[in-house]
Amino acid sequence: MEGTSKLQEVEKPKPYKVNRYEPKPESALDDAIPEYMNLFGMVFSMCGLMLKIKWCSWCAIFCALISFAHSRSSEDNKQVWSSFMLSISSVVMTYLQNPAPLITPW
Amino acid sequence: MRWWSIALLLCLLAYHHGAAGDHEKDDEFAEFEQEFDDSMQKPKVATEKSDEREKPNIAIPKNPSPSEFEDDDNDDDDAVVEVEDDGKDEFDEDWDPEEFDPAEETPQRAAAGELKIAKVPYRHNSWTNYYVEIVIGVLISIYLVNFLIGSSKNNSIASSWLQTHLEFLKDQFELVGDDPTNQKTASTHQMIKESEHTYILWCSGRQCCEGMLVQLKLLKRQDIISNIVNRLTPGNDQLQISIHLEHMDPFVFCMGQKRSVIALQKNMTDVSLFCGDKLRSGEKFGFSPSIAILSELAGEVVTSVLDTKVAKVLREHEHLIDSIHISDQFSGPKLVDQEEVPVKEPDTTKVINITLNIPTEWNGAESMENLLPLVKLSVYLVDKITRLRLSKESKLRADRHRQEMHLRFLKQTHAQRQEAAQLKREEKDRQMKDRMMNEEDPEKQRRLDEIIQRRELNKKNKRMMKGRQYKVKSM
Repeated sequence: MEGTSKLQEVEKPKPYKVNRYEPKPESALDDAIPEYMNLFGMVFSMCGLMLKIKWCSWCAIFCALISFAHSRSSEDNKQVWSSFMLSISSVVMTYLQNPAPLITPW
Repeated sequence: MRWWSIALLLCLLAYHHGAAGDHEKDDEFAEFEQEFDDSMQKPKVATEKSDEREKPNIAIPKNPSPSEFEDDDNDDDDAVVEVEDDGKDEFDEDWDPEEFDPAEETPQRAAAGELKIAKVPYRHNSWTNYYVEIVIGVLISIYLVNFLIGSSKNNSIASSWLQTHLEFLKDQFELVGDDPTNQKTASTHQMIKESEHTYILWCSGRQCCEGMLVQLKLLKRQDIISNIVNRLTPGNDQLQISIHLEHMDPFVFCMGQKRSVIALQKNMTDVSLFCGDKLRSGEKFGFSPSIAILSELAGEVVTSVLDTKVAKVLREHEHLIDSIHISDQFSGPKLVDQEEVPVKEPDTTKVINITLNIPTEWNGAESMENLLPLVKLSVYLVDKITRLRLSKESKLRADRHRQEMHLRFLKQTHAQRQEAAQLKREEKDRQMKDRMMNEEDPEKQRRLDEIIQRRELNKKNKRMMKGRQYKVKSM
């Protein structure tokens, strides 16, 4: 008798349903800062490398940092890391080509 | 706007590169040009400034004056020019600076056996010259330090909130904290870190609701620029609770801080469609004048939702409430592009959305306990709203309202569908005509032409028949 009552308790359907969490697809409009900073970082890196402008290369590092700070965990880390590497390589190449210090306009 | 900013950026860079190139060029070679100029000018300076001139040691053959010739009778080998220091300079009379060619010096100098290698100064860049790079390095390190401090602060706020609310949530829900990557359904009792300033907790397994999503949207303390902006325009950490209901009667209700309610009315599709524009003050229920109420069915719904228990808790924690939004037609924010009409009617869900403000001076578990009554209230509202039954009239009104919205949407899409069909027909006719024009065989061309003519005639006849039918009906 005890066994059947226990079985009934076990088989008694729950009055609720357990649903899994479904992450909503992130739209870029929610927070577009990481994307913008990534894009600017790449543009600055290219300008620093091709046009040998030192301040562009330094700006690229800042853009990569800001993009990293605002990045979401759901996003791929590779893009952020590649942005970092590109900006660092831009700085290194500009200084190898011209080791003189950065000159300010004032 | 994105393209404009990119174009502006590229123009600035191009301008700078042009200016910097010249500047760098000047800097690279400036010193050498300076020295070259100095070396070039020295002989000219010597010829022009007669007062400073020294005794020349160059033998210059010249036509001797008669007086000189007489004096130097005994010395016939060398023609030596002696400078008479009487204040008068002979060279002033006879000297022609243009005739003097410094190039003639060098062979004589070389002949003399003196080789002077010009000393080019080695430009050694000491580290003090790199002060701009040092400043940039310091700024980067400050940013990184701020990132570490900010992200750890946000983490401590999230963990203190979880610590205070976990027991209550475990009592109410079977699943507290879900890892979507894990195939098994198991409570993690941990928040998901979506980013450095956003933490999420999913709870499910309770009667009357499909699940509760808790989002901690904190200030971006990890970014130094956002920190500065937050000091200029102060903001709050926010706790957003979104509960998906299984059943509820049809109504839309929202209340909260006036600016938040206005923002809801402006941005949310269901509030803008069903609630109208008339904001009601919350003073009637004992709230401060800053609290506003907006409801589809004013009166019955407001008094049913804001009963004595709920109103009491809300009054006590009024400063923490940002907005409360209860809707059976929730479909998210309005479309950004107003011209774009949606192809199909958006899916609606029954939700309770509560947004609470966490004052920035809080950071400990003790202060997080003050939020617990409002979280308990949100779970209490699940049962209350599910059991809430509107009167027949109110329900009829709400259903009629929904029917009107549905028809309006169908009309919009009907016009769209008609336009799409018309475009398709026109495209087909154009293709047929092109095919006929390109057809080489005259027989086939004639046949295609006949088909086109017949189709156009049929269309005209149909239009005429429709016109006659309308006339008959009107008669």
